[in-house]
Amino acid sequence: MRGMGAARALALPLLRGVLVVLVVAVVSLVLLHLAPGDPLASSADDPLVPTEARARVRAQMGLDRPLPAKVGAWFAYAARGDLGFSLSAGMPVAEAVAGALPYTLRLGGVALVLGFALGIAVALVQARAPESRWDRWVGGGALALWALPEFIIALGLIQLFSLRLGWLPSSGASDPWSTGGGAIRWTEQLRHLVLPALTLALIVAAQVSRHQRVALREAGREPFLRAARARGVREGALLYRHAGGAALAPTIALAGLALPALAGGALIVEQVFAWPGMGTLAFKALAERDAQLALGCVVPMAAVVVGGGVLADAAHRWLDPRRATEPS
Amino acid sequence: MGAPSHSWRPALAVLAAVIGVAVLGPVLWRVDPNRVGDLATLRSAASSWAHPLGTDENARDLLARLIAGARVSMAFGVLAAAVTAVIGAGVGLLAAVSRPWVDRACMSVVDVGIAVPRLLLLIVLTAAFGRLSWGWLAVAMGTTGWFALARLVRARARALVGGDFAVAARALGAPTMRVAVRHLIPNVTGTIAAATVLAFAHAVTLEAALSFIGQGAEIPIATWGGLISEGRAQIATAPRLVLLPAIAIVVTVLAAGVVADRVERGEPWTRANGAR
Repeated sequence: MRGMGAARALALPLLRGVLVVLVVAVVSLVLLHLAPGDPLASSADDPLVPTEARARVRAQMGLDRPLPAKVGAWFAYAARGDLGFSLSAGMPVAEAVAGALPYTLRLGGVALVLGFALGIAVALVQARAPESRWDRWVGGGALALWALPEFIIALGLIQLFSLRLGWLPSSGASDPWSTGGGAIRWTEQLRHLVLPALTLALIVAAQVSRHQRVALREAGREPFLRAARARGVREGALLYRHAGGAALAPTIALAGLALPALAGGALIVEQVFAWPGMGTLAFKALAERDAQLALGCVVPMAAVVVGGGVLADAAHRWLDPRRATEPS
Repeated sequence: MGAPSHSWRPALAVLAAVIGVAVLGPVLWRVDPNRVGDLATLRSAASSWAHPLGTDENARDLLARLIAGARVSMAFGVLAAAVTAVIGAGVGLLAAVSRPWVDRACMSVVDVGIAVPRLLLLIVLTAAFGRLSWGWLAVAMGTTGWFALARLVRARARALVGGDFAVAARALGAPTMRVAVRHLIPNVTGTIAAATVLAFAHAVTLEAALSFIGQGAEIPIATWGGLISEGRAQIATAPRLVLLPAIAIVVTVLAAGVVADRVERGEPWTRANGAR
C-alpha cells in the first residue's frame, strides 16, 4: 500500500520536474535565438571568407533556420545525448559536460551531506539549552555566515589552511604531478576536496541549523512529546529520538529548497578553487562566447537541481506520513 | 533570520551610512579612484594623510576606490531590488485577486523560477547577449530574483482577500482592482518591504561574487568584488586591500539582513489584521 502511494507521489512531481527542465531549455534557446550575433560571428564573418562559404557553414550548423526548427532540432539531438559541438572546447558539448559534471556532483554532494550533518548537530546542541549564551552566539554566527558571500569564505579558508598553515591544497581537484596509485591517489583527491566542500557546507549548515532549531522547537510542543516526557523518557532521548525524528522531515524538505542556492554557490566556489566542474566550464564558455557550450552546461545543471528537489520532496512525504496524503 | 531584535537600529544606521557614502561619495572624498599615483613609487603604500587607507599596487587611493565600489554596489542593489519588488509584488497581487487559471499560470512560472538556480538564468542571458553593462545586469538580476517574493506576496494577499475588511469592501460593491489597490497593497507593504531589502542584500552579494570571478558587469571603475580580486595578489604584504572591501560587503549585507528581519517581524499592521 505504502509503496504504491510512494510511487504515485513520485510520478507527478517527476513529471513536473521534467516540464521545468524543458521550460528552461526552451527559454534558453529562445533567448539565444533573439540575441544578435552567432557562434560564427568572430570566425566566419571575416571579410576574407566568401559569402557563400559563410552561408554554407551557417546552413550546416542550422543557424539560418527559424526558431521552432532550431528548438526542435536541439531537442531531437539532445534526446540522443548530443548537445552539439563546442567550438571553444574543440569537442562535443556532451563530452565536455560528462567530464565536468561528476566533479560538481562530488563537490555538491559532499557539501550537502556535510552541511546537513553540521547544521543538525549544531541545532541539537542549541536545543539542549535554548536562549542560553551559546544558543545566541551560534545563532549570531549563522547570521554572519549568511551575510558572507561564498567567495569570501573561500578566500578566508585558503588564507588559513593553504597559505598560513600549509595543510591543504587551494586549487584543482587532484595533483597533476602525483604518480602514486590507489590509496595515495585517493587521499590526495580527498585533500583537494576539503576546502571547496567546506566552504559550501558552512553555508548549508548555517541555513540548516536555523531551520532545524525552529523545527525542533515546534516538535517540542507536540502532544506526543509531552506524552513521552510523562512516561518518564529521559530529556536526552526526548531530544534526540523523539523531537529529532519529528524535526527531520522539515529539514529534508529544506534540502530541496536549498539545492538551487547550493548549485549557484558551487558554480562560483568552483571558480575560486579552479575546481574542474560545471561552473568552471560554464564561465569558460561565457568568456569564449560559446553559447552552445553554455546551454549544454545550463540544461544538465537545471536537471540535476530540479531532480534533487523532486527526490527531497518525495523523501519528505515518505518520512512524514501526514504529508503523504496531501495533494502535491 | 535569528537576529536579536534590539540590534536593528545600528543596522539601519549602517545601511543608511553606506548608502549616504555612495550618494555623496565624490563630494566627501575628492580623489580620483582611477588616478595612478607617482610612477616612481608605484607600489602599495600604507596609510598616510594623503591616503587614509593607503593605496593599491598601482598607487591608487583605496578609500576613493572603496567609495567608488560602494556607489556601484548600492546603485546595483537598489536597482535590482526595485525590479524584483515591482515584478514580484505585481505578479503576486495579480495571482491573489485573479481568476484561478491566471493564479495557476502565475504560480507555474514562479515554480519554475524557484526551482532553477538564478545563476544559470544569468549564464544564459550572458551567453546570449554577452557581458552586460551594470544597469542591464542589475535588471537581469531583478528579473531572475522575484519568484520567491511573488509567492510570499500572493500567500499574504490571499489570506487577506478572505479577511473581513476585503469581504466588506467587496460587499459594498468595490471592484476587484479597487480592493487590490486600496485594501490589499497597504496591507502587504511590510512583506514587500522586507523581501525587497533581502533582495537588495542578495543582489549586492551576487554582484560582488560575479565581479570577483571576473564575470560581473563591464565597469571601468572599481567594484568591491573586483577590489578583492585585485588585492588577492598582495594579500601577504597588504591584507587590507582584501579585508576592507570584504568587510564593506559583509557589513552592508548583514545590516540589510537585520533590517529586513525587523521589518518583517515588527510589522504592526499585518499582525493586527490577523494575517498569517
